[in-house]
Amino acid sequence: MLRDITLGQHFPGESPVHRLDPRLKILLTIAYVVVLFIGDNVLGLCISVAFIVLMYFLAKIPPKVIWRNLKPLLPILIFTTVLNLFFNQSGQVLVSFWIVKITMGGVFYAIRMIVRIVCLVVGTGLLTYTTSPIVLTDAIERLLSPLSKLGFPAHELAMMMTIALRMIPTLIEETDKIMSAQKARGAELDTGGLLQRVRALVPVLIPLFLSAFRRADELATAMEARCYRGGDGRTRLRQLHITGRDWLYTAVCVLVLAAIVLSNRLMLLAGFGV
Amino acid sequence: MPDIIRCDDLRFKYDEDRPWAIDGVSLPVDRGAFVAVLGANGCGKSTLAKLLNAILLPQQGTVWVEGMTTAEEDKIYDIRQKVGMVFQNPDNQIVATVVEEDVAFALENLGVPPDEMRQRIKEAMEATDTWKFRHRQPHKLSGGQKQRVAVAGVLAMNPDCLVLDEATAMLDPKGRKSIMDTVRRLNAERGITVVHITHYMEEAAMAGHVVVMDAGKIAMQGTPKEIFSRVEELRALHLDIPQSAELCERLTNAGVPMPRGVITTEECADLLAGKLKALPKAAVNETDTAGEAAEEEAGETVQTVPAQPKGDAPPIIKVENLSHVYNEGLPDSTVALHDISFEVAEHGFLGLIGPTGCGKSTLITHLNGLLKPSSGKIYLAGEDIWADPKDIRRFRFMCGLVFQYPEYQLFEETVGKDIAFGPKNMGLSAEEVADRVRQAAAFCGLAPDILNRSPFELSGGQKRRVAIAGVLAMRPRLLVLDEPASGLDPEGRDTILNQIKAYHKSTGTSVVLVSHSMDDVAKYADRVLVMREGTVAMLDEMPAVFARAPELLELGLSVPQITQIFMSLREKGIDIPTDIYTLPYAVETLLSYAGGAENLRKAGERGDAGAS
Repeated sequence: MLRDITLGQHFPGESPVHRLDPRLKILLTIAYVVVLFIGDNVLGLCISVAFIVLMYFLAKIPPKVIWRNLKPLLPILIFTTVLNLFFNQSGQVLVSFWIVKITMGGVFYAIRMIVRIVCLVVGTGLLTYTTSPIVLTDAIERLLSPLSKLGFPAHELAMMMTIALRMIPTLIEETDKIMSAQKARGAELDTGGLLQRVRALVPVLIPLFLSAFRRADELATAMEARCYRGGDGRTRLRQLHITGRDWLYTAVCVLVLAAIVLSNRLMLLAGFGV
Repeated sequence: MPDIIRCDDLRFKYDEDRPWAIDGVSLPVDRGAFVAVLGANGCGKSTLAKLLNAILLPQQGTVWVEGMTTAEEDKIYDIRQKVGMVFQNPDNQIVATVVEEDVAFALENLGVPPDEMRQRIKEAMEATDTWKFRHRQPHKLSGGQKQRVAVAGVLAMNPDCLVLDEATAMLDPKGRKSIMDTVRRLNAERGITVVHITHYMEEAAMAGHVVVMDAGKIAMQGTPKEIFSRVEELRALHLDIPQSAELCERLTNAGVPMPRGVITTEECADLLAGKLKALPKAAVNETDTAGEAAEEEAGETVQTVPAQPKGDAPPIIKVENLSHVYNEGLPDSTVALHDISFEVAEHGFLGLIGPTGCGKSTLITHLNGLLKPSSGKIYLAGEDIWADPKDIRRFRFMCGLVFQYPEYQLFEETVGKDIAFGPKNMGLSAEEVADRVRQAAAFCGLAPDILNRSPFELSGGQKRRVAIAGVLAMRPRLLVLDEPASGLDPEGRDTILNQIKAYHKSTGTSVVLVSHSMDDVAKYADRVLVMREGTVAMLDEMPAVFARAPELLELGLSVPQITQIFMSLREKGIDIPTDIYTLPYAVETLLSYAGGAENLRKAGERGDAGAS
């Protein structure tokens, strides 16, 4: 049942992709996403795809995982494809009947959109596959910490993420228990229409919320008892160090990303207008 | 200063319009002492704990910690570092997602440099025997392990004093023992002062000094020996009394004078062995087995084997070769239950016990069809419950299931509505529902005026009774309760278990009581099913199971102190049965072994004379 849900899928490993400093990894992922939308031509998209395929290969993430990640996206992909095919009417007409007219431009545009969305999802997925949630939280805190001088709650945000990660399995287990208990009293949680099901969730949600509040309260007391007083003057057990190798890998990646950006100009020079 | 903590005339209340939760408590705690604070729920003992490290501040009086007072705001973190605190619920005090990082939490807060941090974490984790799972996730650990991680997290601060606020209340016997062993070792080897707040009498008996609280005041204090020999006062405070002391009291009343203040198993067994060995050979009445000597004492149950109900009525529940595999067919499949068969006769009372993780909970969730067996059959009142899967809901009403900590399922605005949830789901008429609610509430000792109140304003014990009433209101033919007494104080525990027994007797409803305490099962059930690793380890009448008490201990189950005394006597070479689990029967067995109270008294005099 609920217990089987896995959260923040992480595939531990020792590949260069895994070992890259998480801060650099986050920044590179963001850069990749941005570049995906700048690189607006065939060559750029090809490099983007090749780049991510290579990364997955290096990280030894099974292709099955990619498919599982993409499955929920299918409706969106189909929807955008249809939209692009019907509404982009530029270029040579390929098929035409009744009011439907599919053009070369439409097909090209649709393919480009599919590749971008897939690369976006698969690329950001790689970050969570190769970085454990704790490390990720740490990295986010450290990346955002310069902003805390401007009043941005970087430490608080990271602490919230940590506690959420810690409590989610506990609360899932609890939900499971409450559902069993209410079913034992004859509650019907898996049958009936949408409205009925939503209403049937009340006996599950109320105890769950109360429990979450109670836990939050107790956890706060326990944290205070262990001298918690916010982020000021706090040291960390886990230290992040950027090594020479990290810079090297990053430099390689930056070059690839630069190539994607430059591909626009290259294609123009070669005479392939977008 | 010899005392590490000193409380001077503390008064504290949570709200202006509520009575004092702590009402004039003065208490010095010596450096290196092991102090147990004992008391019923709501006596103020947890409040006292929170006053000790400035989580709460007293409205009157002063708490001194190493010469600082908790009222000094700039000293607050020094005090919290000196007085480390471990709380009741292990899940609600672990912050990080990896064990090692959680232990680091306090040190990170204190700004300890990473290298020193590693050193201190290692030390703290080795001292609590948690080092081996430092890379695991907390939610994958057992309760006892989690609680030891919590102790390590506090220990890393290098505190002078550990305050355990009912830290053992939610653990199974094995987990409780591991915490007590750890804390006692820290106290003995490192001289860490321990303040242990509990309602387990056995744990308080291990302390050097016992403080008994009642209604925000200190009712008694002294050494465990002094406190536990004051049997009458303890009874008046609804606290447990060591069975050794009770046995001595009963023997004294039966004409065999026994000393007061005997509280440990060893002490009592030694005393009795001395007397029994001094018996003249001729007096010893060797053949004595369970049941033979059993006689009804006025108002008390001597252990008797109830006659099996005869007749053609099918058993209320019959389980045949039940197996359950989680995640069947997947690589991580685990066998939770393997080939389990048993039945409960109509009007029967079965105790189901086993260590944590043995599959008890998985088994009972099969009984009302919440889980479907991987193989095997379940018959409720003679019907195969999975004959027609669409019909399964009918069996949910026939087999009422009360989960552990059922009070956390309450959700309605009023107690009455909550109890009515089950009967309403059955589709009964409004009058019928109202009738059932009233009756179920009465069975659970809930006054009619409570029915209109919100369940969330009630005390813990009352909430639990509301939750049980919610299941009773469905009038199940089989009532299954998972640890109905866990986390309650002795009074709450006895109230609930007695109500269940009374309900069983007056309505004839069959009961399955799940527990890891043989004490509870012994008092109420007539047959016992002992589980081990998803299989049936024993299934028999009560005395036959108790005769195998050493095996129960090996399984990590707790057996009553009285049984342990007899086991110890047997080890000392006295040929006495060990299937003893009630006090009257224990007295009787001893007397009949000695051939009468007179013999035993004389032997006692001889034994004492010989000893002096």
